[in-house]
Amino acid sequence: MINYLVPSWFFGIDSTIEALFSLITLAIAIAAFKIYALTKEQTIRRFGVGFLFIALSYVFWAGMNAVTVPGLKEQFPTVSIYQLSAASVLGFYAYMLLFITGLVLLAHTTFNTQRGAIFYLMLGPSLMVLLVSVNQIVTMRLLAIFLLSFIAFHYLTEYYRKSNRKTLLVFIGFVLLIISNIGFAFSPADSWAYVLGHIIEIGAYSLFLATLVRTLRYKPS
Amino acid sequence: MNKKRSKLEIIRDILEVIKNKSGRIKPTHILYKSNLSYMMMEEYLTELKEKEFIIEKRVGKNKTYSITEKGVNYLEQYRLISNFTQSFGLE
Repeated sequence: MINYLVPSWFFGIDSTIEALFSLITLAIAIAAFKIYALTKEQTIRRFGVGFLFIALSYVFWAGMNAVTVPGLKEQFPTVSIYQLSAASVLGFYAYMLLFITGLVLLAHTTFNTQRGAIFYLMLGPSLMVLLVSVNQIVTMRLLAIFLLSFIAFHYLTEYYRKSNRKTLLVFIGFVLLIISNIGFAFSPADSWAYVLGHIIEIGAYSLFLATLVRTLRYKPS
Repeated sequence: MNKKRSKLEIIRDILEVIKNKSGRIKPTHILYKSNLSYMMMEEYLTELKEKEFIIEKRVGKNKTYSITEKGVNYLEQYRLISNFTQSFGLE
């Protein structure tokens, strides 16, 4: 079941914000691939692929919100699977699966291992639970919260290890993503949760973007 | 006490040793300069060959290593690599 409440005044704004998120995460992915090209380190490539999946997930979500949902806004404040076309439903599933896969990839990079089996061990159950769940919105958000907690903890320990301010920004960014997903988990019951979730995500991705810009500002001598 | 080097730092150190020898160096020299055990050094050299950062040349029983353009590029971009990997917790 896919149900979430969206204020009609927020239609269009949400898809614009989501498109922005896709650009930011795509920028991080591209930067990671450039660093991978220099180092040939698989962990870095996995990190890039993770953010690429997340970028693609936002493309699907933004596209669905921009194309399908506005047609509902005059009459229905609730976006429900029963109102969406088959293409939109597929788009929403694509968003959920890509987003969770991206987070699993990022979580996998926090382990100091090259073993692909661990990735599949994390991904398989996550996707199975998501697909068989009755309320997929809430399940997806709970999965995201769980994976983001793992990732955030990694950045917290990295910050304590290296005292790098940019790592702290990334940690705070992931904490904000946890909070935004808590908000989204309540969106089936409250339309303001949907709005707040987006606002908090703006904060998170702003921190990621700031970190990326500060990192890339270095020019080799 | 020296802090433990990350993998990327060790690769940088090995490549710098090879580069500073004007491109051709014996394994024993790398061993002394890189501050690694023999087994670790061999593992790193194998990885660097696979990544095409260095080339191995054999003359009879002796082998020497020289740095490639990819290896030089790694050294030149090391600050950027280090900045990115440290910021995003990838070390």
